[in-house]
Amino acid sequence: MSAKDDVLPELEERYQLYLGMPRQFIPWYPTIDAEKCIGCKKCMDFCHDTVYAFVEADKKVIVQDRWHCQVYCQSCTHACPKDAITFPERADVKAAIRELRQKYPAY
Amino acid sequence: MKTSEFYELSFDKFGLKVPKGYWFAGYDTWAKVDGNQATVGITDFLQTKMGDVAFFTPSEDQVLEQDDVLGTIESIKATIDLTMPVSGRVVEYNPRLKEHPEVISEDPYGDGWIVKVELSDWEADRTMLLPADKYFELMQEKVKNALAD
Repeated sequence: MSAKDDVLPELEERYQLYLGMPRQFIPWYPTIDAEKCIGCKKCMDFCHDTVYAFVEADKKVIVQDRWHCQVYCQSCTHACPKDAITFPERADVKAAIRELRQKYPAY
Repeated sequence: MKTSEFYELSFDKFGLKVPKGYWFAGYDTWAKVDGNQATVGITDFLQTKMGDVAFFTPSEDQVLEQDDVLGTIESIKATIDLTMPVSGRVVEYNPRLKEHPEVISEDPYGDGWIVKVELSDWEADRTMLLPADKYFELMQEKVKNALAD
């Protein structure tokens, strides 16, 4: 079984793998606190990976494509004026990635 | 360095280099290992994407693990967190960056290095890094995707 057999087929090819590991097994993606979000879209301006989408009805941003998020990039948090965006603990993600590396060797 | 010591990609007015003998993280930082020490910096791709670096703020931690935030850089385009490609105890941050952070943009693989560390887990860290030829392939994908956006 190779990593390519385990990818999410509905993801665009460029988002399917992270360093040879199926992206959806890596728990790195943003969470938006809807109470804090003011719908300014600054996170959307920063992120070119369509992680975020604006919901017109609520005037808020949501996480639309979490597996598009670049692993360990959290720079959208700097763009948010309300500290509404959070990410998982890096140590937890690192542990998950190292475990995955055992299953999907590097090269 | 001689040209033969790099992989190089040219597009538009840019020439993006990847030096052989360095190790690279998927998040565009590099480590050059010498014995039990490593020098760490950002790649030519990342500095080109960022534009001129105006500030660098180092992490306050003296012990950094692979994948930890090692500091923050600000350019005219954005503020981003840099991620540590290796684990180790900080020996020193590049003292030039206080007064001249632009050296990161000018010479990312040389005078623009960011931090030197005493390695603590190199054998494990290396399994998560890419040699230059593999990073060069990844970088070409990133460039293609950046141009498509």
